[in-house]
Amino acid sequence: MKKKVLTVDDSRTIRNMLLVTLNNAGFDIVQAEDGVEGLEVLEESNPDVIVTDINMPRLDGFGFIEGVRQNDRYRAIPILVLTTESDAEKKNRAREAGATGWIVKPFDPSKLIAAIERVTA
Amino acid sequence: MDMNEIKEIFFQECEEQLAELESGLLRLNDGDTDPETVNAVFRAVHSIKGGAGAFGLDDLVSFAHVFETTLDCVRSNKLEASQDLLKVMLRSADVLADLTAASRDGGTVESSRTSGLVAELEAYAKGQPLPSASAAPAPAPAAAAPEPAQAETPAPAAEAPEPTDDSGFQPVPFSFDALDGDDDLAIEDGRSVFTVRFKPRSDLYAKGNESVLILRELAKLGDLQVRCEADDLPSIDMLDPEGAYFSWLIRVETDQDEEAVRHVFEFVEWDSTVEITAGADEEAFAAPDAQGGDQPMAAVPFDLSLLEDVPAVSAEAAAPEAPAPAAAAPAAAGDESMAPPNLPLAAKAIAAEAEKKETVVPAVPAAPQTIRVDLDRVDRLINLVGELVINQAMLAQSVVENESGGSSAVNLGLEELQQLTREIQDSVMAIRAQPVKPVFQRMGRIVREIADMTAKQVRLVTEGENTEVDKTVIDKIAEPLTHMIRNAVDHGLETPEKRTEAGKNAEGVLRLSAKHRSGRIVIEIADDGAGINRERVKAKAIENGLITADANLSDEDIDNLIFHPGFSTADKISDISGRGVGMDVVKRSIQALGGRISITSKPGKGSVFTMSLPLTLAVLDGMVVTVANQTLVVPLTAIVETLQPEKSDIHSFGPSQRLIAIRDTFCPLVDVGNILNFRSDLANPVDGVALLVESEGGGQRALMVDAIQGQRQVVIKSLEANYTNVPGIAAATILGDGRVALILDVDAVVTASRGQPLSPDMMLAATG
Amino acid sequence: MSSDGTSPKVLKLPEVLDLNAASRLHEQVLAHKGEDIDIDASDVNRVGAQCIQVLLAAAKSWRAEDQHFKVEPASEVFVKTLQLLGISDEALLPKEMLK
Repeated sequence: MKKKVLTVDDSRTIRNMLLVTLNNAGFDIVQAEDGVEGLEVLEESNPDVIVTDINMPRLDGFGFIEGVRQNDRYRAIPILVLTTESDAEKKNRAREAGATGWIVKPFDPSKLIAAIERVTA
Repeated sequence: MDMNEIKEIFFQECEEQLAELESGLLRLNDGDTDPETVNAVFRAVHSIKGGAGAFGLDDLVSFAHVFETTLDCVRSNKLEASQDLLKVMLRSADVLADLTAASRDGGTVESSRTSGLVAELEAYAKGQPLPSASAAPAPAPAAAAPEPAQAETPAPAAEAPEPTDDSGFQPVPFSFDALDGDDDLAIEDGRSVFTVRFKPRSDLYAKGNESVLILRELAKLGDLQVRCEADDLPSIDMLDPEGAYFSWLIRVETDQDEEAVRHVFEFVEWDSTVEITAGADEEAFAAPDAQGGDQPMAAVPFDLSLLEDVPAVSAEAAAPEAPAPAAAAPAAAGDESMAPPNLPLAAKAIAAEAEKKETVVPAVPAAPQTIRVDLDRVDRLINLVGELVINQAMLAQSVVENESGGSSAVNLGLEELQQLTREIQDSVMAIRAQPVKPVFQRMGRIVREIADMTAKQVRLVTEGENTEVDKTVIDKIAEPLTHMIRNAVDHGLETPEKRTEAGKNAEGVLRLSAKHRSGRIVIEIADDGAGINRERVKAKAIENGLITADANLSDEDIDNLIFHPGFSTADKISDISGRGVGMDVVKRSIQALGGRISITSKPGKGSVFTMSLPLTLAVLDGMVVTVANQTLVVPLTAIVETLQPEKSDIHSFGPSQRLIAIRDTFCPLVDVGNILNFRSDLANPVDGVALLVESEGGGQRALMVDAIQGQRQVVIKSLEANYTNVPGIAAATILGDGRVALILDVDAVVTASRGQPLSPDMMLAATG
Repeated sequence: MSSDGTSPKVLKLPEVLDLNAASRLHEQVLAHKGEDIDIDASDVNRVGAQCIQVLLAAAKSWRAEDQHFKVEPASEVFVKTLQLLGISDEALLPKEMLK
């Protein structure tokens, strides 16, 4: 059975890149455009892993991660943060919110896949 | 989808982000203090940077990075969004737009423009704004250059964690001693041995990490010997099921380096204690098993494939716990344009929230649901509906022909069909309708640029920017609008000094508005400048031989002289409007769209340019006429009136020139059949009908046709898709009886009548 | 097999024993405190360290009270995971299965 990845990113460009990269790697993909939609989609898609951006309208990545971690059913799902930020503050905040790991944009497809493989059973 | 397509999406998205950026900055400029506005502006730049990085567009990334850094200072309240800063940011937004365009189209942006702004932005970010925008030198040496995108690679795993971290993690001083000639290190063929001590904290699991997966990852590096230390495990009653009690001692034999071993722990460094030492720690492994057994631990020749390929959750098993993930998947998976179903989602979200009292989602009003559809698909639908309209008309006609009087049931059905067809057509057209907002937003930049060049102070006010019009029209109004805006700032508004002298505010106001009026869109450009200097316009027109010195013209006539070809009132050709583009060209391009333009002006108070355009270029109201047994459609917008010529009205003039007297003026008579080469000889005007049309120069022509069949709305079919350009013909349509009718290109025909031959490059009316 | 001659209770483990399953597993095991118990791990196809902690703690407690506690049957994934984690305690699985 294919692993299902939920991606949350407000950039259409990044969403498409994720879609192509993950499709080619044989994943099932569900996409959302911001944290609010991410939490909605989560309920119906039950993904194996989540890849999320930080800067998003309505509900940003930090809030989204906290939302997932507070959800009794989905809190165990690994969450990878996609971020252009190399700065420590953002990474710390993401970790504190409950991120499992991170991928630095611009992402290298093979590194993205490797990171997903690493955090999923 | 390949990378090129994604790149195309990226540039589309850049357009949207740039519009968002500009409108956000303008709102801030107007005193908006909503933090979300700053956030949106930040996100726009951030998003462009992110995408640009993915495509290696380094110039764009560098500039966006500096811009973003300064915006971040504003976002975190470290820097005030002063008017001066916003001016710099607006100019930065313009440069960002240029850099984006250059990345897309392969041009370049003058480095002095970027480096100057980079210096200003960086100075603001450091809290030391440069004295004045214009005086800003452009230092931007390599040292000041923003860090390149490559600098944002992940921090090496071996790097010590940030000191800000307060999770209790102590940097692990790991020993390099063993590297100095320890025999254990090189087992064989460059394989090394490392000893890893790994003690997770419960946070590691809470964040979705898993020791089993860490060990699995380690096992991929080579051979493992693993010993689990479970001394800390309490009795079952005392146990916290989500605690972390196990720790591990691991011997890794691998052909990879320590870096690779450390990398396995990249995500868990903060939530565990990890010690990696080069070399084996035989002593530790030899120690009696802490669990009480005394067997030495065996190597684990581990079959990774098993854990690798194990399905996460099989479909059947998932069913009871997680309701039908398979059924829910199609809705959201794959195509991003597929919006997830609206209602069930909302219901679920509400139910879930009520149930758990976990208000994770802030109360944000739901954005209207939209989907993104490829324009080709919409166009195809529009074409099909066009066919349907034609088909319905044909059906109606054949019913009329075959059973005169027809049964009332059939007629009633036909009527309903016609009604429905019309509604479908309107609905389909509405899909392609878009607000004029993006075009209006672009004008802000034009105004800023010209205000800078002419040293004028201008405030642009836009109204009705949500007025919708068909995409075919949107695409074509930007250019004439740009010229008109340029003209208004350059010629309409006075310099601040002159304005102050005249008792006006030094800052001129340009008002750009859009509204719907009787099935058309009306766009007005109003300035509060000096108005048209009629004396000068008249003098110029006399000088250029456009009018005679004694001509008696109304104010309106004089004002409209500026639309005359070649007319220019600027005493010297200025940089802005001296590009060979006069208001005559603007007028012609608007007419080519089936539009009209007019001007009203009040001396000292300003001028208002008004243009009205059809809401769509996909359908057209036309007059169906017969010319030499051919059926033609003449756009109704071009026709001023229709006439039945009397023999006495016609005056010959040379071998082939004829004039027709209309009231007290003479107007050239153009035989359409002859011009289009439908017939070689000239038709007798008395046998036909004359259509009085207004041509590009403002002059009128009488077009001779044989007969008028009637008026109707027709669906425009581009000829270019099927044939090459046909001179004098703008497009074609299909009439109710199935006949193809050509749509006349009035301007081309009029131009040809002046003795210039019809050639394909004279085609003015593109039909999209 | 059991110390008092009655057949042991069987606790069947679910397929996924992740972070979310640990608390429930803990409660279920505690509910059988004082009873002989067989753990059926034949359906398990994913198990995390925390659930193994629960099972190992239970095994030790049962053993200390001289009650029967045995994991059998166990899926291949379950056995392999124990091997990977370096759990060599016979209380959880017979030694020959861990070899």
